Amino acid sequence: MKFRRTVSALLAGLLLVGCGSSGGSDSGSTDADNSIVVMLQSDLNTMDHHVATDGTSFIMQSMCIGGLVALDAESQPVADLAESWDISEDGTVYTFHIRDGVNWSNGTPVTANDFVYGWQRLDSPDLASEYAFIVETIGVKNAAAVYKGEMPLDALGVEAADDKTFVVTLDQPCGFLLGLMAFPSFFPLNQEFFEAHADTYAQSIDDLLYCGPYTFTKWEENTEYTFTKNPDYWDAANCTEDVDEVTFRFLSESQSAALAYQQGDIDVVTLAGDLVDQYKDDPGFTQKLDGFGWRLSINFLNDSGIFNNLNLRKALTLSIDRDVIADNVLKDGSIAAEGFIPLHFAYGPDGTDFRETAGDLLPYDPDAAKEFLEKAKEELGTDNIAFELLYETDSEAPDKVCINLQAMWKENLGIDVTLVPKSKKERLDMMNHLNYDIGLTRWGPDYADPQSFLDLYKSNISGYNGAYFNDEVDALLDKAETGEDSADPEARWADMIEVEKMLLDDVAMIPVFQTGTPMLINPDVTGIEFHNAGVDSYRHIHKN
Amino acid sequence: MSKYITKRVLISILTLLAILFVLFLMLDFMPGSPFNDEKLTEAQKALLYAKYGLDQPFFIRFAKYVGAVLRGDLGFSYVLNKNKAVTDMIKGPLVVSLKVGALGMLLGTALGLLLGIAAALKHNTWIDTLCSIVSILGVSVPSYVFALLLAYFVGFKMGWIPILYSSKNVLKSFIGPMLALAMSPMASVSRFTRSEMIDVLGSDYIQLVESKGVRQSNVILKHALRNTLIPIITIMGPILVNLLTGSMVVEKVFGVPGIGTMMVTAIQSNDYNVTIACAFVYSAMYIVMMLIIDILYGVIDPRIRVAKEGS
Repeated sequence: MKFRRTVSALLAGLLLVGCGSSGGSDSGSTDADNSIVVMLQSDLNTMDHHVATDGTSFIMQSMCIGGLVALDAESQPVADLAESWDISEDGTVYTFHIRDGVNWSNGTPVTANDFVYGWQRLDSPDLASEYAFIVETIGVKNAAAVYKGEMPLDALGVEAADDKTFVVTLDQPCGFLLGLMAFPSFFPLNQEFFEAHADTYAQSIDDLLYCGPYTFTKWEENTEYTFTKNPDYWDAANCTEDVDEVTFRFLSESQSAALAYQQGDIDVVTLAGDLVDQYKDDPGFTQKLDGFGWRLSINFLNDSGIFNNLNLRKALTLSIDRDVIADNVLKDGSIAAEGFIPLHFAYGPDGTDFRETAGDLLPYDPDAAKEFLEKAKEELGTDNIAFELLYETDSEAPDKVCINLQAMWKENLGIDVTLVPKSKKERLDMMNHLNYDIGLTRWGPDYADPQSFLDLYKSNISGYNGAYFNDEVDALLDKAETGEDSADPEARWADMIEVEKMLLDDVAMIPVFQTGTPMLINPDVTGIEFHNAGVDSYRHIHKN
Repeated sequence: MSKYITKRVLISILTLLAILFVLFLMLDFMPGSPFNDEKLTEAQKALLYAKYGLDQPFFIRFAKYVGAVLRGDLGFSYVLNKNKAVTDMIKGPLVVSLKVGALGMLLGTALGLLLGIAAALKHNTWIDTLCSIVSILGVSVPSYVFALLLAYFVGFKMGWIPILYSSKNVLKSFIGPMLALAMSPMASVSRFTRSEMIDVLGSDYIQLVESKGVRQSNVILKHALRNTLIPIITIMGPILVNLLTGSMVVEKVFGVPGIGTMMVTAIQSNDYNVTIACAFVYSAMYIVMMLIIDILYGVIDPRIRVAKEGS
């Protein structure tokens, strides 16, 4: 009898399944017109803006918390929670005037102390935030000493002159400070609320306070995150008037996300490179240019010592056809690198793109490359030049690119390159320990200034600059950043352009391509602002 | 019986401890660290290592971890969900994965049994051939491909099932992943059922039962199926392993927030505590399943129990 019962139970289960599958024809498209669904390629890691390190978390945080400033569509700082600010003549004291009537979601006003408390927490050794470095980057007074525990928290160069006046004191002027005030690490934190929720802070929607255009209303871990418009936000009329809800949906498989897009269930999808051909004719197909480039890092402490030969380095960079790599190999909207600083990333005092002023410094010239190689062989006293090329296989692009680099060097120079594919973390680990010859790596800048790239090549032993040493570069960077040119934007800009040229003339590294991201964006959806440095903004997203 | 079960349970617990040790050791050998951001200085890394106790020697960390695990504390996440307790993190995804997995297994086994019985009864007819084709497809095509085919044809083209998991309609969302996961168990079970059933149906005792005039349905369900089930239960373990590994990709296709997706992300980002917890849960599921199978043997075939107790 027992077995008959088991079999009947199984049959009943089957029937249920049958019923279920036949009743499923009304999926999707029940959403109201004013709610928008955006695909996330990587999941939310934390809503604590002082410990976050990843793009997704920063985007979520800037939906519901405000900064002193926000970035407009052209990535220029505009007033947000601060209605105005003054900068001292020497550029080392910033005084922000916080808007009246700006409140947290529990009704308490946002005050200057919320910023002081937030910045001190970010820089505190107890928190050990991975983003604490950014306080030091903008040069806040005593930031390094406070982080190392050599000075108390209140020695940090921030103070609340009164409830609505927040004063930042710097060691030296910082031309990109304002733009960074839109970065979540610098967002305020209400001390009273935080202390009341210390153990669970930012771990649920009730353990957070909001003061941004949206409030966080539904947190479904590993799945979706829903933000509802905040009518109390000071600029609600411009930000969220016609939008009720924005939902971010975590999906690591872009094929099924693209199908859901076609069904109308998702409005914004990030495509994997191999789906580009399939969707490139869709009216919503877009290619966005990212603010970071991939470059070949050269290990100058490499055992063979061959990379200390400038002519060899010149031969290597001149023999790379970057257009072929971007247009024929990657085909995802990536472009050939023209320098170390990416295109559409940083703009000079006169508003001109850095790249436009600096020009194309990375020509393709296989004949010249051969000549440099011959000289190099003579100087090195060997005909046999071979090395290893390290890259990561977590995403497709590096793999495709390195296979082609290997072929180009073989064809143009006759050099045998051994490919060393590794997982990303292995690649990072090997580079960190200078255990490589040449490695393909990238740098995601945190602020829209050439300094965020050029500082990497200040002389020191780091895996990411391959232990590159150049006194002239150091001297010019110091002059621009903290020295006599630091308060003169034009002179500083000219120095930066010169530093890039010095680095590329000396082939300190070999930039290859600037990344593009193929996307599908519902043509009815507007107002997404992609920022090449900093956090992409969905604050003004809108659906017609 | 109770002595037998106690012994099996104790062995299972020891196995789990050994697994924990191996996992811990393997993670220690993995390259990189949870904090391998390019921008971190050495001083920052040292501070972070100290904060999470990663600067201590291996055996001290392991002893502390086992102590914490025994108290039900799986530590904190370093990356995926910074500073959140891992126990809180994995509860939700685990339940989702268990539901989908159990449904897939149940459906696959049921379909497999039906197909196998049908093929055996209609031995060497077109029904037999059809069942063989279905089961060969099920064995040879990975569940990932089934998942994509289902998402495309049944989900997108026909619109019968949702392409993506939605918490608003969990049951309907489970259909796709469940069907995709059911394929492999269905194929294995039907192949085994068919061959076992043919053997059993040709045996003397079935002929005796039939000659006594017992109804055909009773012959199959009460006598033949019972004896067919024993070898099938032996393959449930391997089937489960297949299902678990398959679930990682199937969950990804349908956007199911299960533990498979979480484990893959945790491994990629060196989130040690989350990786260990997920791997540990997978191992525990497997061991518990083996335990249940061992016990089921005894229930289905008393000879096994008697023999084991006797030894």
